[in-house]
Amino acid sequence: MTTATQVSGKKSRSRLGLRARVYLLLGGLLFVNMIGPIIMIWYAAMARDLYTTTADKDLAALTAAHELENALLNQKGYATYYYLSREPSWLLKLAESRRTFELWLERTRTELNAPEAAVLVEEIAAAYKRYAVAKDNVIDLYQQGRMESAKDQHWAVRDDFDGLRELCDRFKTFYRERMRRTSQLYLERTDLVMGVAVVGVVINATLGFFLAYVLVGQILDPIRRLAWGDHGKTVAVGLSDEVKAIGQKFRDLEKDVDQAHLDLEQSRDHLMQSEKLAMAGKLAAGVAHTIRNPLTSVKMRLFSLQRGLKLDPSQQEDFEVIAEEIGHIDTIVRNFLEFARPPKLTAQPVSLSAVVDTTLTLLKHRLESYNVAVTVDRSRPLPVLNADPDQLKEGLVNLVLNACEAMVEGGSIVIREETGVLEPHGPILAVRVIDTGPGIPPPLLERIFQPFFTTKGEGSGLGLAIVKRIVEEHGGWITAQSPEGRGASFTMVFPYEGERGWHRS
Amino acid sequence: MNRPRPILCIAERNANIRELLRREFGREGYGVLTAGSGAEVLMRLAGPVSVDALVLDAEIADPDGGSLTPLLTRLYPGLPVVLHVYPGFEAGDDRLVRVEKGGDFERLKGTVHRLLETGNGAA
Repeated sequence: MTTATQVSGKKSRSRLGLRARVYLLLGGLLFVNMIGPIIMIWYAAMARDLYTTTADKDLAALTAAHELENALLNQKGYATYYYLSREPSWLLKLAESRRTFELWLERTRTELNAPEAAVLVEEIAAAYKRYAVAKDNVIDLYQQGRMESAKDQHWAVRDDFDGLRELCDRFKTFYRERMRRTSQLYLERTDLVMGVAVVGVVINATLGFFLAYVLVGQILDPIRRLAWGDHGKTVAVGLSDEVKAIGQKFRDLEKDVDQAHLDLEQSRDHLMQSEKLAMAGKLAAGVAHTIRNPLTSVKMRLFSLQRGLKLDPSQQEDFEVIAEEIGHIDTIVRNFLEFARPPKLTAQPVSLSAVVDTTLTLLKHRLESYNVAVTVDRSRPLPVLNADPDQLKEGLVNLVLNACEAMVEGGSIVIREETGVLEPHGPILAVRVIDTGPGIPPPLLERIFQPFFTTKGEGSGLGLAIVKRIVEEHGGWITAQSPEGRGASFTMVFPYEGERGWHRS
Repeated sequence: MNRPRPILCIAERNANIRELLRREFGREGYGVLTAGSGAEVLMRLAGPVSVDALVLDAEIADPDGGSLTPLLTRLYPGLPVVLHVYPGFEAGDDRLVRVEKGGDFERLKGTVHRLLETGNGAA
């Protein structure tokens, strides 16, 4: 059940994209933070209304009630002073106090904001009217000297006075009660605002927490991982800011893309060049193949001719040069055709040592004619590997003859047989051909295995290219070294799957 | 009683080489028939003159040497065939006697001679 809930929770969360989640949380925060000020505005407006009602109207009404009561008390006092002293000045003050009462009564009328208060004010006005008439009658009786009647009336007026005061007290009580209710309402609304504020703070904190969670978990952490790599390794050392690191990484990526683009363009150019070369090679191979047959005919005729001709020395020299040059053309054509249409490998178990021995036997007379001595450096015969002995022999012949041709004045060749382990290839077999010739200038070292590259006037430029192809067809590789002034060294290296456990000798 | 001179069929696509070989083998006392294509070879072998040996250019055409040699082996199993071939050229049956094609035709002559004498062209 829990798992199902979690799964459904994950599904529902995944329905919202990162952008939607961030916008939703930001919108929630904005909403909550806008609600706060709106409630405060509402609260301030409400407080102002309450203040206006209480201070301007209710308090004014209460004050007016006080003033009315004071005016009544004053009138009672002035009348009593007049009864005791018979001084007409108290009557003037009484009249003034009456005007004051009427003014407050009128002001109270204009500022009334409750029907109950209006009824009370009208009752006060009516009672005051009756009280004033009765009081005037008592004063008239005192002025007429009818003392006993005046006293009787005076007691009756006292009841009116008490009634009037009671009305004023009721008016005051009404406004006091009203102010108390207003105060209560104010307190209730203050409590409401505080409650809303507390809820707002909680919602704000919750939304802020989720926003922080989304920002950290789904934006900042991925940015950090992007900046520092999955294994926490610094990609851009010295940069503490992930954004800067990402910028650096992005710039590196741009450089890589540019480089890759450049490499791709170069590869495409190379491919186009290779395709052109392949096409030219096919055409040239066709031409060479066509040439070979008439060339053979010429060679045969020349062979036939030489048997019956009696030539003087210069004619003999001419004839030999012609035969030699035709032989040269034949070699070029043969090499070219072999390079263009390499024969299929016929692999069989063979030791490179046996290939070396056969090659040297084959080349014995050529080596003598070149005045070159060959030494084989072998601790024990190389183990057997699966290879085409004829092809390997041809490769070795090419290397040895190449060395011989380099040593115009004669010299020596060392053929060194080696075994070893070379990572990541594992066990290897190597045959090194080292001569004592003039060596190869460093700028030419990179080009000597290219087809048709030759430094010899009569070379086809395919000998070393054929050796390279033969070695590579056997899964190996060939290298050339030429320490300055110490001849040249060509090494054919072949991976060896057989015997394990031996090391470079 | 004189031995009848052996009859050779020289099959060579290049006319000049063909004629040279005809002349050279003729001088050696062979009776020589020539053929410039695979079809001509089959025609010569099927003709009234019995051929004792065939010198076959490995690159002969129509039909080419590669398809001609199995046919010859099947139709004329006892016929000695010398394959005249450039080095590296892969054609024909490995059991056939192969002579490298070059300027020196004496090796070819020697091989043919030994083949007819002993039934084996090996030097």
